[in-house]
Amino acid sequence: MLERVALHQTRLRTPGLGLDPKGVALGAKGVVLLPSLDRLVAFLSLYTKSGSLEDVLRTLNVEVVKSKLGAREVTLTFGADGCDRMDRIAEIARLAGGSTFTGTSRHFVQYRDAGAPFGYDVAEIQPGDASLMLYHSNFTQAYNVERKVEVRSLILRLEPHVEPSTMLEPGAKWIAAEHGLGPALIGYFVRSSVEAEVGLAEWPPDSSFDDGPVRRYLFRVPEIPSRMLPLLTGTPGLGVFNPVGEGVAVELGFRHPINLRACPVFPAGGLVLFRGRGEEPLELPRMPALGAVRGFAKVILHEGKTTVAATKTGTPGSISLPLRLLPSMDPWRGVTATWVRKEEMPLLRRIAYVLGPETLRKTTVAFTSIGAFVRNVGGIESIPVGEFFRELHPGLFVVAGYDPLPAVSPEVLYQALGAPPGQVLFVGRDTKVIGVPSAAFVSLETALLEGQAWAPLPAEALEAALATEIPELVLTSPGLRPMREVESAAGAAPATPLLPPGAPGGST
Amino acid sequence: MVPLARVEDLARGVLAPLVLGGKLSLVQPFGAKLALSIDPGFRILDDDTRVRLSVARVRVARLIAPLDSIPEPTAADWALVAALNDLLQATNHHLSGPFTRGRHERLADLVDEVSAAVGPPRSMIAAIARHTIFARLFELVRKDTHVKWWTGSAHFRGEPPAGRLLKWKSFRRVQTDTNAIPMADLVDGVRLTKERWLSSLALFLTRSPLTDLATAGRLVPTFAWSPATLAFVYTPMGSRLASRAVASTRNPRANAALEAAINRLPAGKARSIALRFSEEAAAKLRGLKGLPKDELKPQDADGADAQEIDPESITDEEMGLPPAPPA
Repeated sequence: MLERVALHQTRLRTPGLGLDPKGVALGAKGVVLLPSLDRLVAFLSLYTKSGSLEDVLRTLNVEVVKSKLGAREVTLTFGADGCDRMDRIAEIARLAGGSTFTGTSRHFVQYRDAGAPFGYDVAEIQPGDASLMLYHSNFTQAYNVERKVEVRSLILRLEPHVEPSTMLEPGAKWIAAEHGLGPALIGYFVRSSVEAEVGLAEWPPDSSFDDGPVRRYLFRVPEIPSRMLPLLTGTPGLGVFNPVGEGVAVELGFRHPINLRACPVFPAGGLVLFRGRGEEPLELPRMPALGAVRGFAKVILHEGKTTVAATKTGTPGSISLPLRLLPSMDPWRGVTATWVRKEEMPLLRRIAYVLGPETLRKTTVAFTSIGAFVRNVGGIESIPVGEFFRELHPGLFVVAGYDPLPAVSPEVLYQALGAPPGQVLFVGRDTKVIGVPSAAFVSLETALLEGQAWAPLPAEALEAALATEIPELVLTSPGLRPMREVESAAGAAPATPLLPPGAPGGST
Repeated sequence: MVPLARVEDLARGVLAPLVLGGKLSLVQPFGAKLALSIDPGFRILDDDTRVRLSVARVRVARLIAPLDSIPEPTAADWALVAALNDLLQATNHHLSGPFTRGRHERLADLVDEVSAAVGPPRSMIAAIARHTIFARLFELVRKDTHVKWWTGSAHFRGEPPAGRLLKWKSFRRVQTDTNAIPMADLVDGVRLTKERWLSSLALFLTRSPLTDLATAGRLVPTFAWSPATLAFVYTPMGSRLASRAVASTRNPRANAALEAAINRLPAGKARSIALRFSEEAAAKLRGLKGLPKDELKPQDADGADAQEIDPESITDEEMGLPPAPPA
């Protein structure tokens, strides 16, 4: 039977059980007892949904244990690295139908729950030679280890389930093609100008009756055009895989029960392709050599029998080359401009609040339909937003981290671009040149403040007070008998002497 | 005696809007007998209206004289306000039916009777006080609305159009045209000739000579010298006040109207009085050039007597006027 650990209790009977700084009974290890492998998969699935298994993987040990009654159960043993981890594991284990214990070597007591916030301690140690003794509030059971279960092999044995939503996930893809389909797929990619890398992978023969190793072409495609997806996913012998973690990918239309990104059990240098429909996963311990599919483009050679020698000199043909940009390994220098695209403008606004007065004064900005171009001769590092450009020549900027090819001098490049007066040229990564009128660059401090609303006070308050409305005559019905009281004053003198003397018809 | 409620309605519906501006709602016609029997001690019950009226009247008076207070309306003033109500009721198309078309003419006759019974003001301050009541008479307008929709149209004289006619404006293609009708054209649309109504208005105006002179530049009724106006401008003080009143309107037609009226006068005493005033008013209109520098003192306005010349001493023959209407 178990006893609840009391507050400020100092002695515990369970060997290897101690009190952590919070006063919770905690051993060096934790054990989760699960009734079956199904529950184990559920536990791993739940755990990897909310966090990575990496922190417990080094100490994780999964075993199938057998009680003296012959019941087989599964235990996960791991290093108890404090209450926080144990609490989280205990919650997930409870959800997966398991129990959590803590201890150090053989004797493990139930981990704390709502009934015992400081954990449990045993009232009496059970004697025995079992390799694992679990003390629970409901039972006390001894177990012997029957076999060990590798997490990696367990994950490899789990079959992905159907998940159509993964068809729409963007990003790079792996394609595994049977040996006969590879060349056709290469030609298809070359014709369609799809950037891809291809390699040839080998697997050992399934049995000694096979002639040789099984070969498959392996493609890595940064972005598959959506029009190709139905063909690639619907053709037998082709499999399209979505990378879900380092060295692991799951076939499109399927999802692995465990979040593989949170299970770094596969080596980063290899590749594991999980296939659906009950097929075995394809495992490559080492990545094959990959090359661009353009290298397989059709090559046409001239016969070369007649070589015409030049008989006289003349005007040479044009050897002009298009401008290209090559990534540069040199440290960045002279980065004095940035291109803030429209979607990054809110970020620029927020950053502007924290810019110092000197930066605001020296920075100029030009607003265009594709975003804002910000320049600062002292360096644009103080405005860490947008795509940075370095000034190659006065009025000519090249995206930072790239060098123009051919490596002509900046002056020549500027002249080649037409050297337009009054224009500031920006060469982007795609070698597109954007010209911004230099007159459009205004000081950032003048461009920052919005038009402030202000309320005018009425200065003509005195006039308004004295102004009166125009008298407006409104005609309404005077009633049923409007003339009933209308009488002439003739013959009836007024009651009071109203009228001035001598007025016609007036009284005196 | 007129019930106080009726006079209170008259003050609220006619006098206050006439001085302060706003909707002028006519009350039931008074007729001559009732108009001339209003209690001389009547005082507007609503203190707020009375104070606002007083302030507004002082403001009008200060355009021509440095006064700090204006006397309350006298019984004669109330009679003239009642007459104005009747004069405007004579333009009300709701007043008569198919068999009572003569009501408009009768009301005009009764207005003439009141105007004849109420004499010109007896002092400068009374003239100014009366002018402060009727100074905005020619600012009065009536808003007529013509509503046109896809199957018909309707005209509303001085009253808002029925709400049902303005519904579903876009669907029924309702067009609303509102016109401000000036004072001179108010009588259009009723069974009363314009000349008849304007003659009543002209006679009414002679009861407030300062108003008559200040609005001399009006189009109709054309300004004409009357014994009251001649008597008022005969005194230097009256002439000065009247010229200020003329100048305060800044109406460029005022000088021409005064000279045209002088031309209609036969040569004689009246003409010489009118000529002298016309010159003073013209100088005032030209920018106060040639005027003496001494300003009007408040006590001058209070104590000056306008009766240095008796209006009755100027005969109708001397004025070139037809004989006065019988009382």
